[in-house]
Amino acid sequence: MNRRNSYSQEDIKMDMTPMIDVIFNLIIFFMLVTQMVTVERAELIMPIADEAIEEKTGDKEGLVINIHKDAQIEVSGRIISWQELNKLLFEESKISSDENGLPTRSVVIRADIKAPYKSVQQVMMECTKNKIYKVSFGAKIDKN
Amino acid sequence: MIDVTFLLLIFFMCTLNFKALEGILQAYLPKEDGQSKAFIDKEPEEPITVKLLKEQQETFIWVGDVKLSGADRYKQLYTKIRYIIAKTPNTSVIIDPDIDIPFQEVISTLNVCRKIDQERGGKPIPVKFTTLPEESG
Repeated sequence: MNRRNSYSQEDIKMDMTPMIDVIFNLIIFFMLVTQMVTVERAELIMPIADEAIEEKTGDKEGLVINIHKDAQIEVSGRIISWQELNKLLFEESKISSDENGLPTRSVVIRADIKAPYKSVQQVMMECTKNKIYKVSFGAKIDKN
Repeated sequence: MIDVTFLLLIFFMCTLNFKALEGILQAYLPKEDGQSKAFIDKEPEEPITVKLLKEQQETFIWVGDVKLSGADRYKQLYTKIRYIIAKTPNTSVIIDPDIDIPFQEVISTLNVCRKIDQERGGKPIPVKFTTLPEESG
């Protein structure tokens, strides 16, 4: 009888394997998502706007164009030329269109706080040339 | 090991939340060479032209022939636009920044327009940006 009791006490162990599996899956998910966000969105000092609205899921599907303070254009972690940007916008405009034949894809222009307006204007002109009119500016939400 | 794993999990979850604090300001780009038919139909009033000019490292705002300056220039701009919009509700705003103006100034101007939108119950003021001289001709 004594022997049986001691045996059952030793046998009770919590199986941590499924929990560790779940945690590792979560970590991998967050690591990948963070990396994707970082690649798409360059490290810039964003302009502040208290009226900026949070992006809807639909807006996040568009192209993100980053403009550095030295007027360099970065898309998906790569510095690109104006010709490459024009090509990218052309491809973006062909992905989907509405009943009037206008592209439904959106573009988010993320420019550094000190980026010259000339480069932002140039990007807007490239968007208009490719008939992409759904353009928005990235800004840091500051309600203070 | 589980402690480390939990710490990593918390770190990534927090980082993801910080990224979400970034928002957007809609820029309604004019269609077909800067002249939208919808704008022409709804816009009998003269548009408000907001010029952003840089003089000796300082930015000045010109609304018509009125010069706004100083640290509270965007508050002055807000009062000015709100006053004009109250009198002519269908008017639009044309933002005409100097080419070397820092982007924050443009965003602050757009932010003023969106603030007035909120007061008008979400009815957006049509905002246009001037085009490059070589493109507009």
